[in-house]
Amino acid sequence: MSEAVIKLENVKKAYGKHEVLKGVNMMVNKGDIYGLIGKNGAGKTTIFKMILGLSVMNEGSVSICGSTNQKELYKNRNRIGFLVGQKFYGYLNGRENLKYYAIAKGFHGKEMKDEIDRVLELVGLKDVKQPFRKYSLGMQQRLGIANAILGNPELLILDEPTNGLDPQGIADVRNMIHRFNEEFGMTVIVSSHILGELEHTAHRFGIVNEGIVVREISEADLKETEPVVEIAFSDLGKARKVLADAGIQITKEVMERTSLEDYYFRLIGGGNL
Amino acid sequence: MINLIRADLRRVLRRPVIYIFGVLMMFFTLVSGFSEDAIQQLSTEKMVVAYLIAIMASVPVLIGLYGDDFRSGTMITIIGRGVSRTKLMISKLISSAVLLAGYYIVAFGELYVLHTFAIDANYSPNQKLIFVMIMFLGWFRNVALFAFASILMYAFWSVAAGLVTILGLIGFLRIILNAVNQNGNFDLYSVTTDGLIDNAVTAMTSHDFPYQLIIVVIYFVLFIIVGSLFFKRKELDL
Repeated sequence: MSEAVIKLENVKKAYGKHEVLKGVNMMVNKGDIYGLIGKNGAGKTTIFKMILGLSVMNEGSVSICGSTNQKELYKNRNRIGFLVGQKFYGYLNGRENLKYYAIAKGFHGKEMKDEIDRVLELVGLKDVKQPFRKYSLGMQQRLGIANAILGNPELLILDEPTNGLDPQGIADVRNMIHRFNEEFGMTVIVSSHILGELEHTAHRFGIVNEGIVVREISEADLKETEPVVEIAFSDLGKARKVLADAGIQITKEVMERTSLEDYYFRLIGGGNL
Repeated sequence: MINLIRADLRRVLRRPVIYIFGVLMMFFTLVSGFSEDAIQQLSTEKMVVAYLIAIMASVPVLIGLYGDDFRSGTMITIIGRGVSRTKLMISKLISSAVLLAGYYIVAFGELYVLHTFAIDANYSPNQKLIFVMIMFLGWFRNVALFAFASILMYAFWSVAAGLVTILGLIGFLRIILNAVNQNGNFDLYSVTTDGLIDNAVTAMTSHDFPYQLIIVVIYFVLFIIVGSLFFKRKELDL
Protein backbone atom coordinates (compact mmCIF):
# COMPACT_ATOMS: atom_id res chain seq x y z
CA MET A 1 0.00 0.00 0.00
CA SER A 2 1.27 3.50 -0.85
CA GLU A 3 2.45 5.83 1.90
CA ALA A 4 0.34 8.99 2.24
CA VAL A 5 2.51 12.11 2.33
CA ILE A 6 -0.45 14.49 2.57
CA LYS A 7 -3.88 13.62 3.85
CA LEU A 8 -6.75 16.04 4.36
CA GLU A 9 -9.82 14.82 6.19
CA ASN A 10 -13.06 16.76 6.18
CA VAL A 11 -11.27 20.11 6.06
CA LYS A 12 -13.68 23.01 6.28
CA LYS A 13 -12.94 26.70 5.98
CA ALA A 14 -15.28 29.66 5.90
CA TYR A 15 -14.66 33.39 5.74
CA GLY A 16 -17.66 34.76 7.58
CA LYS A 17 -20.67 33.13 5.94
CA HIS A 18 -18.77 32.28 2.76
CA GLU A 19 -17.74 28.62 2.84
CA VAL A 20 -14.59 28.16 0.79
CA LEU A 21 -13.86 24.55 1.72
CA LYS A 22 -16.84 22.37 2.54
CA GLY A 23 -15.19 19.20 3.81
CA VAL A 24 -12.18 18.39 1.68
CA ASN A 25 -10.86 14.83 1.68
CA MET A 26 -7.70 14.32 -0.28
CA MET A 27 -4.70 12.01 -0.25
CA VAL A 28 -1.35 12.37 -1.96
CA ASN A 29 0.91 9.33 -1.96
CA LYS A 30 4.69 9.25 -1.90
CA GLY A 31 6.06 9.51 -5.42
CA ASP A 32 2.88 10.93 -6.95
CA ILE A 33 2.63 13.84 -9.29
CA TYR A 34 -0.78 14.92 -8.09
CA GLY A 35 -2.71 17.39 -10.21
CA LEU A 36 -5.24 19.57 -8.45
CA ILE A 37 -7.77 20.70 -11.01
CA GLY A 38 -10.48 23.27 -10.60
CA LYS A 39 -11.69 26.53 -11.97
CA ASN A 40 -10.67 29.84 -10.41
CA GLY A 41 -12.16 30.17 -6.94
CA ALA A 42 -12.81 26.42 -6.56
CA GLY A 43 -10.61 26.28 -3.45
CA LYS A 44 -7.25 25.01 -4.75
CA THR A 45 -5.15 27.77 -3.19
CA THR A 46 -7.05 27.52 0.10
CA ILE A 47 -6.22 23.80 0.22
CA PHE A 48 -2.53 24.73 -0.15
CA LYS A 49 -2.87 27.35 2.60
CA MET A 50 -4.22 24.66 4.93
CA ILE A 51 -1.36 22.30 4.13
CA LEU A 52 1.23 25.06 4.66
CA GLY A 53 -0.35 26.36 7.87
CA LEU A 54 -1.08 29.80 6.42
CA SER A 55 -4.73 29.66 7.31
CA VAL A 56 -6.62 28.30 10.28
CA MET A 57 -9.18 25.62 9.39
CA ASN A 58 -12.58 25.59 11.05
CA GLU A 59 -12.87 21.81 11.10
CA GLY A 60 -11.03 18.69 9.99
CA SER A 61 -7.41 17.62 10.02
CA VAL A 62 -4.29 17.88 7.88
CA SER A 63 -1.66 15.19 8.07
CA ILE A 64 1.85 15.70 6.69
CA CYS A 65 4.12 12.65 6.45
CA GLY A 66 1.74 10.76 8.75
CA SER A 67 1.48 13.32 11.52
CA THR A 68 -1.33 15.62 12.63
CA ASN A 69 0.43 16.75 15.82
CA GLN A 70 1.03 20.52 15.75
CA LYS A 71 4.72 20.32 16.70
CA GLU A 72 5.35 17.56 14.18
CA LEU A 73 3.51 19.54 11.51
CA TYR A 74 5.93 22.45 11.96
CA LYS A 75 8.85 20.06 11.62
CA ASN A 76 7.40 18.25 8.63
CA ARG A 77 6.61 21.47 6.80
CA ASN A 78 10.36 21.95 6.59
CA ARG A 79 10.29 18.97 4.20
CA ILE A 80 8.01 20.85 1.82
CA GLY A 81 9.12 23.19 -0.94
CA PHE A 82 6.49 25.37 -2.49
CA LEU A 83 5.78 27.91 -5.15
CA VAL A 84 2.74 29.93 -4.22
CA GLY A 85 3.16 33.34 -5.81
CA GLN A 86 6.55 35.04 -6.00
CA LYS A 87 7.79 35.99 -2.54
CA PHE A 88 11.10 37.75 -3.12
CA TYR A 89 12.82 41.01 -2.28
CA GLY A 90 12.79 43.29 -5.32
CA TYR A 91 16.13 44.95 -4.52
CA LEU A 92 18.08 41.68 -4.32
CA ASN A 93 19.02 39.56 -7.34
CA GLY A 94 17.96 35.94 -7.65
CA ARG A 95 21.07 34.52 -6.02
CA GLU A 96 20.84 36.92 -3.05
CA ASN A 97 17.17 36.11 -2.60
CA LEU A 98 17.95 32.41 -2.55
CA LYS A 99 20.78 33.07 -0.08
CA TYR A 100 18.24 34.64 2.29
CA TYR A 101 16.07 31.54 2.19
CA ALA A 102 19.05 29.18 2.27
CA ILE A 103 20.50 30.81 5.41
CA ALA A 104 17.05 30.76 7.03
CA LYS A 105 16.92 27.04 6.20
CA GLY A 106 20.27 26.47 7.90
CA PHE A 107 22.68 26.33 4.97
CA HIS A 108 26.23 27.66 5.41
CA GLY A 109 29.35 28.46 3.40
CA LYS A 110 30.30 26.27 0.47
CA GLU A 111 27.38 23.91 0.94
CA MET A 112 25.04 26.89 0.50
CA LYS A 113 26.86 28.19 -2.56
CA ASP A 114 26.81 24.76 -4.22
CA GLU A 115 23.11 24.26 -3.47
CA ILE A 116 22.20 27.68 -4.88
CA ASP A 117 24.32 27.02 -7.99
CA ARG A 118 22.59 23.65 -8.41
CA VAL A 119 19.02 25.01 -8.24
CA LEU A 120 19.77 28.07 -10.36
CA GLU A 121 21.33 25.81 -12.98
CA LEU A 122 18.26 23.55 -12.95
CA VAL A 123 15.93 26.46 -13.70
CA GLY A 124 18.30 28.17 -16.12
CA LEU A 125 19.00 31.32 -14.09
CA LYS A 126 22.59 30.72 -13.06
CA ASP A 127 24.04 33.66 -14.95
CA VAL A 128 21.27 36.20 -14.33
CA LYS A 129 22.54 39.15 -12.29
CA GLN A 130 19.76 41.75 -12.34
CA PRO A 131 17.59 42.50 -9.30
CA PHE A 132 14.37 40.55 -8.92
CA ARG A 133 12.16 43.57 -9.67
CA LYS A 134 13.51 43.56 -13.23
CA TYR A 135 12.66 39.89 -13.82
CA SER A 136 10.12 38.89 -16.47
CA LEU A 137 7.16 36.81 -15.29
CA GLY A 138 8.78 33.65 -16.64
CA MET A 139 12.01 34.38 -14.74
CA GLN A 140 10.04 35.07 -11.57
CA GLN A 141 8.32 31.69 -11.90
CA ARG A 142 11.65 29.97 -12.48
CA LEU A 143 13.19 31.60 -9.42
CA GLY A 144 10.11 30.57 -7.45
CA ILE A 145 10.68 26.98 -8.56
CA ALA A 146 14.40 27.23 -7.69
CA ASN A 147 13.44 28.40 -4.20
CA ALA A 148 10.89 25.62 -3.88
CA ILE A 149 13.46 22.90 -4.64
CA LEU A 150 16.16 24.44 -2.43
CA GLY A 151 17.45 21.72 -0.11
CA ASN A 152 15.79 18.94 -2.16
CA PRO A 153 12.45 18.78 -0.34
CA GLU A 154 10.49 15.54 -0.24
CA LEU A 155 7.28 17.25 -1.27
CA LEU A 156 6.88 20.02 -3.79
CA ILE A 157 3.74 22.17 -3.98
CA LEU A 158 3.32 24.27 -7.09
CA ASP A 159 0.31 26.54 -7.34
CA GLU A 160 -0.37 27.37 -11.00
CA PRO A 161 3.32 27.30 -11.92
CA THR A 162 2.64 27.99 -15.60
CA ASN A 163 0.55 31.11 -15.04
CA GLY A 164 1.58 33.78 -17.51
CA LEU A 165 4.19 31.63 -19.23
CA ASP A 166 4.63 31.27 -22.99
CA PRO A 167 4.28 27.79 -24.58
CA GLN A 168 8.01 27.13 -24.29
CA GLY A 169 7.91 28.14 -20.62
CA ILE A 170 4.95 25.84 -19.99
CA ALA A 171 6.72 22.90 -21.59
CA ASP A 172 9.90 23.69 -19.62
CA VAL A 173 8.00 23.69 -16.32
CA ARG A 174 6.33 20.40 -17.21
CA ASN A 175 9.69 18.82 -17.99
CA MET A 176 11.17 20.19 -14.76
CA ILE A 177 8.34 18.65 -12.73
CA HIS A 178 8.93 15.24 -14.33
CA ARG A 179 12.64 15.58 -13.66
CA PHE A 180 12.14 16.49 -9.98
CA ASN A 181 9.83 13.51 -9.60
CA GLU A 182 11.88 10.94 -11.48
CA GLU A 183 15.46 12.05 -10.75
CA PHE A 184 15.11 13.48 -7.24
CA GLY A 185 12.18 11.37 -6.03
CA MET A 186 10.05 14.36 -5.07
CA THR A 187 6.33 14.00 -4.57
CA VAL A 188 4.67 16.86 -6.41
CA ILE A 189 1.29 18.54 -6.03
CA VAL A 190 0.60 20.89 -8.88
CA SER A 191 -2.53 22.94 -9.47
CA SER A 192 -3.92 24.39 -12.63
CA HIS A 193 -7.17 25.27 -14.28
CA ILE A 194 -5.79 24.25 -17.67
CA LEU A 195 -6.79 20.60 -18.06
CA GLY A 196 -4.65 19.81 -21.09
CA GLU A 197 -1.56 20.98 -19.26
CA LEU A 198 -2.14 18.87 -16.16
CA GLU A 199 -3.05 15.82 -18.19
CA HIS A 200 0.49 15.85 -19.56
CA THR A 201 2.05 16.46 -16.16
CA ALA A 202 0.35 14.50 -13.38
CA HIS A 203 -0.20 10.81 -12.59
CA ARG A 204 -3.14 11.34 -10.26
CA PHE A 205 -5.75 14.04 -10.23
CA GLY A 206 -8.00 15.64 -7.64
CA ILE A 207 -10.92 17.52 -9.10
CA VAL A 208 -11.99 20.43 -6.92
CA ASN A 209 -15.36 22.04 -7.35
CA GLU A 210 -17.04 24.53 -5.04
CA GLY A 211 -14.87 23.69 -2.06
CA ILE A 212 -14.93 19.90 -2.31
CA VAL A 213 -12.59 17.41 -3.94
CA VAL A 214 -15.34 15.73 -5.93
CA ARG A 215 -13.19 12.97 -7.41
CA GLU A 216 -9.65 11.58 -7.16
CA ILE A 217 -8.63 9.65 -10.20
CA SER A 218 -5.39 8.13 -11.52
CA GLU A 219 -4.01 8.35 -15.02
CA ALA A 220 -4.76 4.62 -15.44
CA ASP A 221 -8.35 5.05 -14.20
CA LEU A 222 -8.81 7.84 -16.69
CA LYS A 223 -7.75 5.61 -19.57
CA GLU A 224 -10.08 2.82 -18.45
CA THR A 225 -13.06 5.08 -17.88
CA GLU A 226 -13.40 6.39 -21.39
CA PRO A 227 -11.86 4.00 -23.94
CA VAL A 228 -11.38 5.85 -27.18
CA VAL A 229 -9.74 4.43 -30.27
CA GLU A 230 -8.10 6.89 -32.54
CA ILE A 231 -7.29 5.79 -36.10
CA ALA A 232 -5.75 8.04 -38.66
CA PHE A 233 -6.48 7.30 -42.35
CA SER A 234 -4.49 8.30 -45.37
CA ASP A 235 -7.70 8.39 -47.43
CA LEU A 236 -10.75 9.05 -45.31
CA GLY A 237 -13.28 8.69 -48.17
CA LYS A 238 -11.90 5.27 -49.16
CA ALA A 239 -11.87 4.15 -45.50
CA ARG A 240 -15.53 5.10 -45.12
CA LYS A 241 -16.39 3.11 -48.28
CA VAL A 242 -14.43 0.03 -47.13
CA LEU A 243 -16.13 0.08 -43.74
CA ALA A 244 -19.57 0.48 -45.34
CA ASP A 245 -18.86 -2.38 -47.83
CA ALA A 246 -17.84 -4.58 -44.88
CA GLY A 247 -21.14 -3.80 -43.15
CA ILE A 248 -19.45 -1.83 -40.37
CA GLN A 249 -21.48 1.15 -39.29
CA ILE A 250 -19.67 4.29 -38.16
CA THR A 251 -21.55 5.34 -34.99
CA LYS A 252 -19.52 8.39 -34.23
CA GLU A 253 -16.98 10.37 -36.17
CA VAL A 254 -15.00 13.15 -34.55
CA MET A 255 -12.82 15.40 -36.63
CA GLU A 256 -10.01 16.55 -34.34
CA ARG A 257 -7.66 19.38 -35.10
CA THR A 258 -4.03 19.17 -34.15
CA SER A 259 -3.64 20.88 -30.77
CA LEU A 260 -2.17 24.34 -30.86
CA GLU A 261 0.66 23.26 -28.57
CA ASP A 262 1.58 20.35 -30.90
CA TYR A 263 1.42 22.61 -33.93
CA TYR A 264 3.57 25.24 -32.21
CA PHE A 265 6.32 22.81 -31.29
CA ARG A 266 6.16 21.06 -34.68
CA LEU A 267 6.67 24.44 -36.27
CA ILE A 268 9.38 25.95 -34.10
CA GLY A 269 10.89 22.88 -32.47
CA GLY A 270 11.96 22.66 -28.83
CA GLY A 271 9.79 21.59 -25.96
CA ASN A 272 12.54 20.08 -23.89
CA LEU A 273 14.81 21.69 -21.30
CA MET B 1 15.69 31.11 14.96
CA ILE B 2 19.38 32.07 14.83
CA ASN B 3 19.41 31.24 11.12
CA LEU B 4 16.43 33.46 10.50
CA ILE B 5 18.05 36.35 12.38
CA ARG B 6 21.28 35.87 10.41
CA ALA B 7 19.38 35.81 7.11
CA ASP B 8 17.38 38.92 8.00
CA LEU B 9 20.37 40.95 9.15
CA ARG B 10 22.43 39.95 6.16
CA ARG B 11 19.82 41.02 3.63
CA VAL B 12 18.68 44.19 5.44
CA LEU B 13 22.25 45.51 5.54
CA ARG B 14 22.07 45.68 1.74
CA ARG B 15 19.31 48.29 1.95
CA PRO B 16 20.62 51.85 1.34
CA VAL B 17 17.89 53.25 3.62
CA ILE B 18 19.72 51.78 6.62
CA TYR B 19 22.81 53.87 5.87
CA ILE B 20 20.97 56.99 4.71
CA PHE B 21 19.20 57.27 8.05
CA GLY B 22 22.45 56.51 9.85
CA VAL B 23 24.13 59.47 8.15
CA LEU B 24 21.11 61.72 8.79
CA MET B 25 21.10 60.70 12.45
CA MET B 26 24.78 61.58 12.77
CA PHE B 27 24.23 64.93 11.05
CA PHE B 28 21.26 65.96 13.20
CA THR B 29 23.08 64.82 16.33
CA LEU B 30 25.97 67.03 15.33
CA VAL B 31 23.76 70.10 15.00
CA SER B 32 21.55 69.37 18.03
CA GLY B 33 23.27 71.93 20.23
CA PHE B 34 26.05 71.47 22.77
CA SER B 35 27.05 72.98 26.04
CA GLU B 36 30.37 73.06 27.89
CA ASP B 37 28.41 72.65 31.11
CA ALA B 38 28.41 68.88 31.78
CA ILE B 39 24.95 68.78 33.43
CA GLN B 40 23.40 70.84 30.63
CA GLN B 41 25.14 68.66 28.05
CA LEU B 42 23.89 65.47 29.70
CA SER B 43 20.35 66.81 29.63
CA THR B 44 20.67 67.62 25.89
CA GLU B 45 22.00 64.14 25.23
CA LYS B 46 19.02 62.65 27.04
CA MET B 47 16.66 64.52 24.69
CA VAL B 48 18.73 63.58 21.63
CA VAL B 49 18.48 59.90 22.58
CA ALA B 50 14.76 60.05 23.47
CA TYR B 51 13.63 61.78 20.29
CA LEU B 52 16.19 62.19 17.51
CA ILE B 53 18.00 58.88 17.72
CA ALA B 54 14.81 56.96 18.51
CA ILE B 55 13.12 58.28 15.36
CA MET B 56 16.17 58.07 13.10
CA ALA B 57 16.81 54.47 14.15
CA SER B 58 13.20 53.26 14.16
CA VAL B 59 12.20 54.36 10.65
CA PRO B 60 14.86 52.45 8.64
CA VAL B 61 14.60 49.35 10.84
CA LEU B 62 10.83 49.27 10.36
CA ILE B 63 11.11 49.80 6.61
CA GLY B 64 13.97 47.36 6.06
CA LEU B 65 13.05 44.60 8.45
CA TYR B 66 9.25 44.65 8.41
CA GLY B 67 8.11 46.75 5.43
CA ASP B 68 9.99 44.72 2.82
CA ASP B 69 8.62 41.50 4.30
CA PHE B 70 5.01 42.66 4.41
CA ARG B 71 5.29 43.93 0.84
CA SER B 72 7.10 40.95 -0.69
CA GLY B 73 5.37 38.26 1.35
CA THR B 74 8.63 36.54 2.25
CA MET B 75 7.34 35.94 5.79
CA ILE B 76 4.65 33.74 4.24
CA THR B 77 7.31 31.51 2.68
CA ILE B 78 9.12 31.27 6.01
CA ILE B 79 5.91 30.29 7.84
CA GLY B 80 5.02 27.78 5.12
CA ARG B 81 8.38 26.15 5.69
CA GLY B 82 7.48 25.32 9.24
CA VAL B 83 8.64 28.31 11.30
CA SER B 84 5.97 29.11 13.91
CA ARG B 85 4.54 32.60 13.89
CA THR B 86 5.65 33.22 17.47
CA LYS B 87 9.21 32.23 16.58
CA LEU B 88 9.10 34.51 13.56
CA MET B 89 7.87 37.42 15.70
CA ILE B 90 10.59 36.91 18.28
CA SER B 91 13.31 36.55 15.66
CA LYS B 92 12.18 39.81 13.99
CA LEU B 93 12.24 41.54 17.36
CA ILE B 94 15.76 40.28 18.09
CA SER B 95 16.92 41.40 14.62
CA SER B 96 15.36 44.82 15.32
CA ALA B 97 17.16 44.98 18.67
CA VAL B 98 20.49 44.20 16.99
CA LEU B 99 20.01 46.83 14.28
CA LEU B 100 18.81 49.43 16.78
CA ALA B 101 21.85 48.65 18.91
CA GLY B 102 24.00 49.48 15.88
CA TYR B 103 22.43 52.94 15.61
CA TYR B 104 22.73 53.59 19.35
CA ILE B 105 26.38 52.51 19.38
CA VAL B 106 27.17 54.85 16.46
CA ALA B 107 25.30 57.72 18.16
CA PHE B 108 27.00 56.94 21.47
CA GLY B 109 30.40 57.04 19.78
CA GLU B 110 29.63 60.32 18.05
CA LEU B 111 28.34 62.00 21.21
CA TYR B 112 31.25 60.66 23.24
CA VAL B 113 33.80 62.01 20.78
CA LEU B 114 31.98 65.36 20.63
CA HIS B 115 31.63 65.97 24.34
CA THR B 116 35.08 64.63 25.15
CA PHE B 117 37.21 66.21 22.46
CA ALA B 118 35.23 68.94 20.73
CA ILE B 119 33.36 70.72 23.52
CA ASP B 120 35.29 69.46 26.50
CA ALA B 121 32.26 68.95 28.75
CA ASN B 122 34.43 67.34 31.44
CA TYR B 123 32.15 64.54 32.63
CA SER B 124 32.80 63.13 36.08
CA PRO B 125 33.01 59.31 36.31
CA ASN B 126 29.44 59.28 37.66
CA GLN B 127 28.21 61.44 34.77
CA LYS B 128 29.97 59.14 32.30
CA LEU B 129 28.06 56.24 33.84
CA ILE B 130 24.78 58.16 33.51
CA PHE B 131 25.62 58.88 29.86
CA VAL B 132 26.12 55.14 29.19
CA MET B 133 22.86 54.37 31.01
CA ILE B 134 20.96 56.95 28.96
CA MET B 135 22.18 55.24 25.80
CA PHE B 136 21.48 51.71 27.02
CA LEU B 137 18.03 52.52 28.38
CA GLY B 138 17.22 54.57 25.25
CA TRP B 139 17.92 51.47 23.20
CA PHE B 140 15.93 49.30 25.61
CA ARG B 141 12.95 51.67 25.39
CA ASN B 142 13.15 51.61 21.60
CA VAL B 143 13.07 47.80 21.54
CA ALA B 144 10.07 47.87 23.91
CA LEU B 145 8.31 50.24 21.50
CA PHE B 146 8.99 47.76 18.68
CA ALA B 147 7.53 44.93 20.76
CA PHE B 148 4.37 46.96 21.34
CA ALA B 149 4.12 48.15 17.73
CA SER B 150 4.54 44.61 16.41
CA ILE B 151 1.12 43.74 17.89
CA LEU B 152 -0.48 46.22 15.49
CA MET B 153 1.84 45.47 12.58
CA TYR B 154 1.00 41.76 12.59
CA ALA B 155 -2.69 42.37 13.27
CA PHE B 156 -3.01 44.77 10.33
CA TRP B 157 -0.17 43.24 8.26
CA SER B 158 1.15 46.72 7.67
CA VAL B 159 4.35 48.54 8.51
CA ALA B 160 2.44 51.84 8.47
CA ALA B 161 0.66 50.72 11.65
CA GLY B 162 4.07 50.24 13.27
CA LEU B 163 5.43 53.57 12.04
CA VAL B 164 2.42 55.51 13.30
CA THR B 165 2.52 53.71 16.67
CA ILE B 166 6.24 54.16 17.26
CA LEU B 167 6.47 57.74 16.05
CA GLY B 168 3.30 58.59 17.98
CA LEU B 169 4.62 57.04 21.16
CA ILE B 170 8.02 58.68 20.79
CA GLY B 171 6.54 62.09 20.03
CA PHE B 172 3.35 62.38 22.02
CA LEU B 173 3.07 59.77 24.78
CA ARG B 174 4.74 61.88 27.42
CA ILE B 175 2.85 65.04 26.43
CA ILE B 176 -0.57 63.33 26.35
CA LEU B 177 -0.11 61.42 29.59
CA ASN B 178 1.25 64.47 31.38
CA ALA B 179 -1.88 66.34 30.30
CA VAL B 180 -4.04 63.46 31.56
CA ASN B 181 -2.13 63.42 34.86
CA GLN B 182 -2.89 67.06 35.51
CA ASN B 183 -6.55 66.09 35.95
CA GLY B 184 -6.04 63.04 38.14
CA ASN B 185 -4.09 61.64 41.07
CA PHE B 186 -2.72 58.55 39.35
CA ASP B 187 0.58 59.02 37.51
CA LEU B 188 -0.28 57.11 34.34
CA TYR B 189 3.04 57.92 32.67
CA SER B 190 4.99 56.12 35.38
CA VAL B 191 3.43 52.76 34.46
CA THR B 192 4.23 53.02 30.75
CA THR B 193 7.48 51.55 29.41
CA ASP B 194 8.74 55.10 28.91
CA GLY B 195 7.89 56.14 32.45
CA LEU B 196 9.32 52.95 33.93
CA ILE B 197 12.57 53.40 32.02
CA ASP B 198 12.77 57.07 33.06
CA ASN B 199 12.35 55.99 36.66
CA ALA B 200 14.92 53.25 36.18
CA VAL B 201 17.44 55.88 35.03
CA THR B 202 16.69 57.92 38.16
CA ALA B 203 17.03 54.83 40.35
CA MET B 204 20.35 53.86 38.76
CA THR B 205 21.77 57.37 39.13
CA SER B 206 20.87 57.18 42.84
CA HIS B 207 22.55 53.74 42.97
CA ASP B 208 19.18 52.03 43.69
CA PHE B 209 18.11 48.77 42.11
CA PRO B 210 16.12 49.57 38.93
CA TYR B 211 13.23 47.15 39.64
CA GLN B 212 11.25 49.03 36.95
CA LEU B 213 13.25 47.16 34.31
CA ILE B 214 11.75 43.88 35.55
CA ILE B 215 8.28 45.29 34.88
CA VAL B 216 9.40 46.38 31.40
CA VAL B 217 10.58 42.82 30.72
CA ILE B 218 7.14 41.55 31.85
CA TYR B 219 5.61 44.07 29.41
CA PHE B 220 7.85 42.64 26.67
CA VAL B 221 6.53 39.14 27.29
CA LEU B 222 2.93 40.40 27.36
CA PHE B 223 3.42 42.31 24.10
CA ILE B 224 4.81 39.19 22.45
CA ILE B 225 1.97 36.99 23.77
CA VAL B 226 -0.73 39.42 22.63
CA GLY B 227 1.03 39.97 19.29
CA SER B 228 1.33 36.26 18.64
CA LEU B 229 -2.36 35.75 19.51
CA PHE B 230 -3.29 38.28 16.83
CA PHE B 231 -0.74 36.89 14.39
CA LYS B 232 -1.85 33.28 14.86
CA ARG B 233 -5.36 34.16 13.77
CA LYS B 234 -4.19 36.24 10.84
CA GLU B 235 -5.14 34.89 7.43
CA LEU B 236 -2.11 35.11 5.17
CA ASP B 237 -3.04 35.85 1.60
CA LEU B 238 -1.01 34.34 -1.19
